Amino acid sequence: MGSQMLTPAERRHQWRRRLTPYMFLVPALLVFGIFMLYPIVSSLQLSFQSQLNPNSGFSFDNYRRLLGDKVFRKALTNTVFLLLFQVPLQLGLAMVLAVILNNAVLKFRTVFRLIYFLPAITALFAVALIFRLLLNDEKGLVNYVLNGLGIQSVPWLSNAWPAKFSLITAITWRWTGYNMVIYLASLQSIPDELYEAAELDGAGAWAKFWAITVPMMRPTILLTTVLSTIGTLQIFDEPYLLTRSGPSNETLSMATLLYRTAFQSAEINYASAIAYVMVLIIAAFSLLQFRIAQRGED
Amino acid sequence: MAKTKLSDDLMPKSLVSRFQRIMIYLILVVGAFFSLFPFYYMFVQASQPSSEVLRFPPHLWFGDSAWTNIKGLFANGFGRSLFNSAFIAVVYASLSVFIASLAGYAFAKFRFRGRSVLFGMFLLVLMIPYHVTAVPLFQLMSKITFLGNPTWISSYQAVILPALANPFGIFLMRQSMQALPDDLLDAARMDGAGEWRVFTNVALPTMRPTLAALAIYSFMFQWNSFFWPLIVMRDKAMETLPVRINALVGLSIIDYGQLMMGTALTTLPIMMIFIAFQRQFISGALAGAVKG
Amino acid sequence: MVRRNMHLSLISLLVLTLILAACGSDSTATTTSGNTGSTNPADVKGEITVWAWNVAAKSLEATVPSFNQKYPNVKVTIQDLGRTDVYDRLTTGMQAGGAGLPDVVAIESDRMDVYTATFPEGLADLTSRASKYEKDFDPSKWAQSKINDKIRSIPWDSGPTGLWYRVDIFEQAGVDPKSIETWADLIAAGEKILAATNGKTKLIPVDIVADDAGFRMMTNQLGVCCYFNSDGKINLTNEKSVQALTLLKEINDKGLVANINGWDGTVAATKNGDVATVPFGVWYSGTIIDQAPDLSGKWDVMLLPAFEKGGNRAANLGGSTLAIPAATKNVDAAWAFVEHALATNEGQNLMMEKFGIWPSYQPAYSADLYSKPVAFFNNQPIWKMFADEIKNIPPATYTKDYAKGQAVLASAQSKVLSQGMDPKQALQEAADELANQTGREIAQ
Repeated sequence: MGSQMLTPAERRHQWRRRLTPYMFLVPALLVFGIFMLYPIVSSLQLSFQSQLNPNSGFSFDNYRRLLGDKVFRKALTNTVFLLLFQVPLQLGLAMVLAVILNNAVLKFRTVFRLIYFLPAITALFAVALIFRLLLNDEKGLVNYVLNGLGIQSVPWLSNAWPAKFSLITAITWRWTGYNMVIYLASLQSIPDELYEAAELDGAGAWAKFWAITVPMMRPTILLTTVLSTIGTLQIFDEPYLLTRSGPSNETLSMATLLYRTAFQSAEINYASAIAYVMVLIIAAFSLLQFRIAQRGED
Repeated sequence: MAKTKLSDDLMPKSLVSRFQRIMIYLILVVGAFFSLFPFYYMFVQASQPSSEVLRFPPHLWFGDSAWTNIKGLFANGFGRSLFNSAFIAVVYASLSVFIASLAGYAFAKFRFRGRSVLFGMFLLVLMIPYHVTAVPLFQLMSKITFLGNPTWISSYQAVILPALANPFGIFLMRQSMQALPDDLLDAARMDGAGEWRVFTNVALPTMRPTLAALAIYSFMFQWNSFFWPLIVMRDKAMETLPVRINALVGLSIIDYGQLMMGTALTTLPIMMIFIAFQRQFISGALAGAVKG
Repeated sequence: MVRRNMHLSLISLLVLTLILAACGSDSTATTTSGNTGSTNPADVKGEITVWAWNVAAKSLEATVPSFNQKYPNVKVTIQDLGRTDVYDRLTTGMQAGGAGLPDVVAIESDRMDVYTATFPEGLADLTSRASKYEKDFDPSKWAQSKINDKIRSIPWDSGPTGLWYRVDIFEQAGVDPKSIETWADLIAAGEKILAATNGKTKLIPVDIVADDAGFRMMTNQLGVCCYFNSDGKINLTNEKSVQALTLLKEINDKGLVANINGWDGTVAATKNGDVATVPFGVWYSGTIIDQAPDLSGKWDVMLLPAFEKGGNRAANLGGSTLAIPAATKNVDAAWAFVEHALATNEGQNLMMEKFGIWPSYQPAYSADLYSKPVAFFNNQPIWKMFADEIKNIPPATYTKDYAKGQAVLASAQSKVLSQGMDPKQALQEAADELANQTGREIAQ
C-alpha cells in the first residue's frame, strides 16, 4: 500500500480520510446491527428450531413441513397471481395517468395530482372498514348502486373471483397515484429536444412514447417494478383487513399466513420458516427483474 | 425540478381537439371521484351515531353526532395517544433523516471498501417481512436495561429506534447526494474545512428539499404504523393512535361512530400535512426514482 | 489498512449480533408457586394490570370499587384492547418468557388451548386456589379451563345460546313462537315469514364463507362440538355433524339464509329487518340493544329448536376466561381480583347488570335480576331461560388447532351452501384437509 513512504502527519491524514465514510455510517450501522440484524439472525435461528422442543438443536423440520403445506402453497399461488395482475395494472394505469397529466394544456393538474396521491398517504386500517361497508354483499353501497342501475348484486367479498377483484381494486386505489407521481417527475426530466427531433422525423405520439419515453424512463420503471413486486409479495394490510383472506383462503397471502401462524396460532418457529421462504422468493423475483432489465439495455 | 414546459411531448396543443380534451377531463374526474369517495364516506360515517353507521340504505350526508363521537374518543385516552403519536413521529422523522443523510452522504461521495456490500445490506431489509422480526425484537426490548429503564417495553425509544436505519431514506439520500458536484466539496476541503464541516455546511444545505421530503415521509410512516407499536407499547399511557382506535373493536360490541371518527381524526392531520407540503411529498416520491 | 477497518467494523457488528443473539435465546418460562394463602385481605398488596376488550374491560372496571373495599392495598389498572390485539401481545410476551405481560388477561375460551399447548407453563396453575369453586361454575366452561387436571383460567362469561327473534315479524306472518320446538318447525315458520314479507325477511343470517357459528351451535347441541373429540382426533365425519350441516343446507336451499359478510353484516341484517331470527349466544343481547335501539320491545328470545321433539335445546357459543400469566409477581393480588370479579355474586352481577356479561358462576343466578322481565326484550324474563339452560350444555372440545378447524369448516360450509356439495362429502374432505394441516388422526 505504500504508506511507509508518507510522513506520519500525512499518514494520519490519509487514515482519517479513509476512516471518514465509516464514521458517517456508524449511526446507521449501529441501529441496523442492533435492531435489524439481530432480530433477523435470531428469527432465522428460530426457523431452524422445533417449537415444543427448542433445545433439540438444528433441524429442518419447519422447512420440511412447509413443503407439504397445502395452505402455504395456496398462499403462494394467490400472491403470485396477485403479482402478475396487480403490478402491471397498477403501473400501467399510473403511466397512463402520468402521461395525461403531463400535458401542459390541462388545467387543475396539481389538483388532480394531489387527489390521486391522497390514498397513498393514509393507513389502510383507516379505510378498510369503509371499503368493507361499501362492498358488503347485501348491505353495501356498491351493490345498492348497481341494483339501482338494474344490475344484479355482486358478491364482492364472498366469492373467489369477485374477492380477488376487490383486493386488486383496493391495492390499485392505494398505489396508483403514488407511482403516477414518480412517473410524472421522470417524464418531466426527459429533454424536449428528443421529442422535437423525433417529430422532425415524422414520429407520431405512439411511436414517440415507445421510442423515447419508455427507454428514457427505464430506470424509473425498473425501480417502481421492483418496489411494487416486493410490496405485493409482502402484501398484508389489504387481504387481512379487507377480504380477511377469504373466501376459503382464496385471498390468503403469504404475509397474512405468516401473521396468522405466528401470532394467532402462536407457532413462531414455523412462521419464521414461512418468512425466510418468502425472503428467498422475493429475492429471486427482484434478481430476475434486474436481469431482464439488464438484458434489455444491451 | 426540471422544466415544466416540455410537457406537451405526447400531446402537442394542436393535436388535442376540444372533444379529446373533454374526454380526458371526464376520465380524470371519474378517477378523482374514486380516489376521494372513500374519504368522503369516512367523514360522513364519522358524524353518525354508532347505531346509524350500519343503517341501510346508508347515509350519504353528514349526521349530527360528530361532537359526541369526538367527546367519547377523548374520554377514552385519545388525547394522550394523539400526543404519543405526534411525539414519536416527530422525533423519529428528525433522527431518521439525520441518520439517512449521513449514510447517504457516505455512500454517494466516498469510495471505500465494502461500500456496495453495506449498501446492499441496508436494502436487504426491504425484503424481510416485518412480522417475523417482531418477536425477537420484542425479546430484545424486554432485556435492554440501560438508560435508566428497567426494560424498554412501553418506552418511546422502543418504537423510535428499530426503524431508524430506514433503507428508503438511505437510498433517497444517496440518490440526491450523487447529484452534488464533487468540486464543491473539494473546494471546501481546500479551504481547510474538516469532513464534518464539509458535510454540515456544504452538503446538507443543498439537500434541503430532499431532507424535507424524507422528513415528511418518515413522519407519515411512523404516524400510520400499527403493528410494532401495538406489540411494544403495552402501557395504555404509551399507546399510539392506531392502537387506541383499534381498541374500539370489541368482542360483540363495536362503537362504529367513534371508530369512524377516530380513523377520520387520524387521517386528517396527514391530509393537512400533505396538502401543505405537497411539493415536498411529490419531490420525495421521485427524487429517488428519477435518476435511477 | 482500509481492509482492516472494513474487517473491524464487520467483525464488531458480528460480535455484537452474536452477543445479542446469545442473551436473547434463553427463553425459559417462569413458574409460580402455588397457594400462599394469605388470609387477611389487607395483607394482599401490589399493583396489578388487567387486559380485556372494550365493554368487557369496562365491566371489570365496575368491579374495582367493591374490590378495593375488601382489598384496599391493591391498585388495579384495567386496559382495554382490540379483539385480536390481546393475542398479538400475549403471544409475543409468552414467547419472550413472560416479558411485558399483565397480571390478569382475558382470553376467549376457544383460544385457551393455543396458549396452554404452546406455553404449557405460561399461565399460572390456579388449582389449589380455585378447585373449591368447581361445582359453582358452568360445567362445560370449567372443563375447558382444566388442562391435564390443572386449572389454568377461571371461566368469566358463558355463551348459552338462544334464538333471538322479532316478535312483530312473527306476528305479521301469523307464526306463534311457542309452537316452535324443532328445527323443522322453525323452517316452516321461516317459509311463512318469507312469504308474508314478500321475500324481504329471511330466517337467519349466515356468513357462509367465513363463519360456521351455526354449525358449531348445532353440533354442540348434538354433543360433537368442535371438530375434535376428547382424544384430540378429528371428529367431523360422524353422523351428527353430517346432520347439522345437512340442516343448514336445507335452510339455505329453501331461500331462508341471508348471506352476510362478517360481524358488521350480521349486525346490519339484525337492525335492518333482513332476518326474523338470529341464533347466537346470550351476549348478542348487548349488541342488539346497542345497535338497534329503535327496535326496543320488538325482540324476544327462545331456546334453539331441537333436532327432534324433546331433544336437547341447550348449547354454547363464545364466552371467555380470565387467566393469570405465570410471569406475574403479584399472583396473590391477581388472584384476589379474579376471585372477587368472577367467583362472587357481587362481582358477577355487577357486570351482568350494567354490561350484560353473562356469569359462568352459577350461584349468581339466584339474584332478583334473573327473574325480572326485561323491557327491551318484549318485557319477558329472558335471563331466567339462560340461567336454566347452563347446566344442560354438552361439553365441547377445542384444542390448539381450533382456529384451523374453523377456517376449514367455513370453507366446507361454503362448498355445501353455495356450490351444492353433499354435506357428507364436504365433511370428509374437511376432515382430510384438517388432518393434512394438523397431523391429527381422523376419528372413526
